[in-house]
Amino acid sequence: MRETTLPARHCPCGTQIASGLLSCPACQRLVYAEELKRLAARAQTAEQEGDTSGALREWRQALDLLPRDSRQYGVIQAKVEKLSRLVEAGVPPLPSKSGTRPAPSGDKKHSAWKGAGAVGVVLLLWKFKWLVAAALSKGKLLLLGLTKASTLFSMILSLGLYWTAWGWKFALGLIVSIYIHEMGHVTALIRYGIKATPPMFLPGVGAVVRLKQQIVSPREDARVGLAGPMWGLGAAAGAYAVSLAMSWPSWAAIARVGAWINLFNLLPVFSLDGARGFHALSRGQRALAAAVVAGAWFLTSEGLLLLLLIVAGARAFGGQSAEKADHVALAQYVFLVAALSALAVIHVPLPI
Amino acid sequence: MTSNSEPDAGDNLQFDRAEFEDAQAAGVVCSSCQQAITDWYYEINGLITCATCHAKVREAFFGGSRLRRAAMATVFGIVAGVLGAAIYYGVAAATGYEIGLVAIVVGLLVGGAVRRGSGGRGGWFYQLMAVALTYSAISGSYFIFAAKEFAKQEQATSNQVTESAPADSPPALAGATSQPAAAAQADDASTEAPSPAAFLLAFALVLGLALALPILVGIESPITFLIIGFALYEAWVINKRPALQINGPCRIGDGVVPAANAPVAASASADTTHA
Repeated sequence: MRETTLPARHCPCGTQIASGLLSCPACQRLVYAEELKRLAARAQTAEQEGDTSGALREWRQALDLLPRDSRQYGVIQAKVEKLSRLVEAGVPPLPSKSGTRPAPSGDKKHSAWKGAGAVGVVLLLWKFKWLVAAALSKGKLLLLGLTKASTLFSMILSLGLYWTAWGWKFALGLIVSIYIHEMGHVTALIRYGIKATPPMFLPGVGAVVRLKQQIVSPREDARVGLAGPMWGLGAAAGAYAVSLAMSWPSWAAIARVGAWINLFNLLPVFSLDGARGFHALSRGQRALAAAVVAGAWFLTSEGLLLLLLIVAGARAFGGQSAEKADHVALAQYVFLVAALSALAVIHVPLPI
Repeated sequence: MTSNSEPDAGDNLQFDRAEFEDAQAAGVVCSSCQQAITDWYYEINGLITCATCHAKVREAFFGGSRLRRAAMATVFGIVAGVLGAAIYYGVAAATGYEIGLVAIVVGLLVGGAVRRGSGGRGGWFYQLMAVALTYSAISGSYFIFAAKEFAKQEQATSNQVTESAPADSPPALAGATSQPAAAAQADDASTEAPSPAAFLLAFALVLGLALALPILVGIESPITFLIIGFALYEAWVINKRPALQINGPCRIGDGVVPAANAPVAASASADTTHA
């Protein structure tokens, strides 16, 4: 607990604005008015240029400078939610004359249906464009993460620890698996324009990416949270494919341990990725997810799945759940449980 | 809360003044007691409060005896730890299964008890206390299991020796025929009181073994290790110090802050307004 006397700002109305406030309590003048105007202008420019992630980044910064109970905060929050859905759909904002995309209304539905074919083609092209761009940029992005000193040094430290314990081959594979998992989160955060720290390795524990901004919706939280295990699954599956093709047992071991670590991350507790995924699930969806975990445990007898089942079951029947079902989050969670469980029990041939 | 209306074409957004619902329009109001504030206010974690509510918050967070809180937290924590260990052991005895997840219940119990005893203060001291007591409770439960297992094995070994020695002891084990004499000697030895140093050494060894047991079990079973980790984490998190930042007093309009309430570093020169 801290009791401070940080210098107050002075409002032209004569009132002292305490350092923790974002507007004058007497005349409601906004403390960061000029900065907010700049951010809004930049966000609108980004929207007009079709840079949805850029616009999201600017609007989110604006949210940090507005009182939470102000009307402006509510309007921008709704705007962020809308842009975030566009990002997910892979559609850039199509600016109207006033600089914002008009919200769909009942009156316009009929005309919208008329042009559905053309819009569908446009959407498909945009979607395709995103996929191509993603494929081209992922390699670059993976390397970009290494340019951060904190990531690189903590990674080397972790590598040293794992190398000492298990040898360089396995240590390197494990580090790369963890790194790919974290870059999954980073990619999602960049897409949604959310500020975060670069990945930081914690020797013996794993790695972490800390958010610098609050995520506004359970849907975004789930997408960002499950992006890590999704990329981690890719890494584990890749390692397994290499082990099968080349008959390298070390790669099978990396695949298995990588899958286990990602499965562990699906535990819906604390700030683990599974908790973020569960954040967007309704009670019924949580029960369904727990049932899938039970099935996976029945088929594989992997002990971690029993723990996952107990925790998921507890979260399904206790505590708060999302009011609105998120089918994408459920599909991602269930897919991850199934695929990672299968990889977590693969046979690892012992070296002769 | 705010208007959640969808932004319209122009959004009608302006960034000169914040727009609030009715409460703010009526003037400066204490967020706690809802009374109007006229001259000066405090800000607690971003909320505006009057002098009376500020005093109540200060008393709740800074008043009272530190020693008394520490003592209460220790007593509450120990009682919860014993109760937790009993629950852990009881569940295992009743079901025949050692359910590791009960460790998390122990963590919650001990963490909650320490928090209650400390009056909700939290902080590294109470966090460490909660973690240490949770770990001790888990160690205690494991120690009971280990002691029972050890006693069972001892019993089995002595039964085996008693059954096999008299009837068909081979010549090579002829020494076993002198078992009564050896037992008598052992009895004599056991009646001798151990020296204080030996007693302390034995106690330290038993304590060390008990404290090492969760780690030894964890090495055998990574899942158990994780569960114990969760339990300790829960105890730690529950006793995290609540974030409280108080600023003020701050003047409203031409209001005057009484000298007795003026902050030490009330900075009239810090005219860094962005408004």
